[in-house]
Amino acid sequence: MLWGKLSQPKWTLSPPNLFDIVAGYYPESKPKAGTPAHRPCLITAVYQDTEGGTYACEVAFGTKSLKSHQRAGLDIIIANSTDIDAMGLHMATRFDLDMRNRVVMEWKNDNFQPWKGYNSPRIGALTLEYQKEYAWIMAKRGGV
Amino acid sequence: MAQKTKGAAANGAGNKLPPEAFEYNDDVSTDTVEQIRAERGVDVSEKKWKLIDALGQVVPA
Repeated sequence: MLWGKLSQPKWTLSPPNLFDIVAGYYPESKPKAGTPAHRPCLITAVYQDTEGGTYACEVAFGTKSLKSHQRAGLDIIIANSTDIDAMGLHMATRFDLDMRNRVVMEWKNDNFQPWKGYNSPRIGALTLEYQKEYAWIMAKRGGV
Repeated sequence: MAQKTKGAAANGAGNKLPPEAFEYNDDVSTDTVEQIRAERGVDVSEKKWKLIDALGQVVPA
């Protein structure tokens, strides 16, 4: 177990926080040739392995396909330039909150990778306003 | 759509962001989600996994 920890980068030793936006490998329906791209993912739950001390997190994927009309009130859609900056993103982004599209993955470099020039996969975090919107959306969805 | 146009304030707080920052213009299909869930998903119903941070509903164990 110790060897497994040592072979992982330092950032894996501390878990992400709820509502962090991280760069993670998530499959695309039309992946480009080569390895899958890592995209912004929203952390919606964090788990700890009580035996090994490692972490896992539930993620909602981010996409530039906003579908503003169809998905308004169902997903977190960040389209305001100031908000995009505040959350460390570069493009308008929608986080798909469908429970069926969320996956729990281990917090390790097979699943998450820092963007070039970053020390950890953490890009930013939802601002308080969007955290409230998340809570409202999830309450309205009733866990769907 | 917050695409940058000439003269608009630069997103990224003036930082030069890597190419990955632009490459997620696709949806994720249900099939591929199932695939990654099977290949890399964690079964949090196992006793060793303890929920330490969440708000509301989470993926059922």
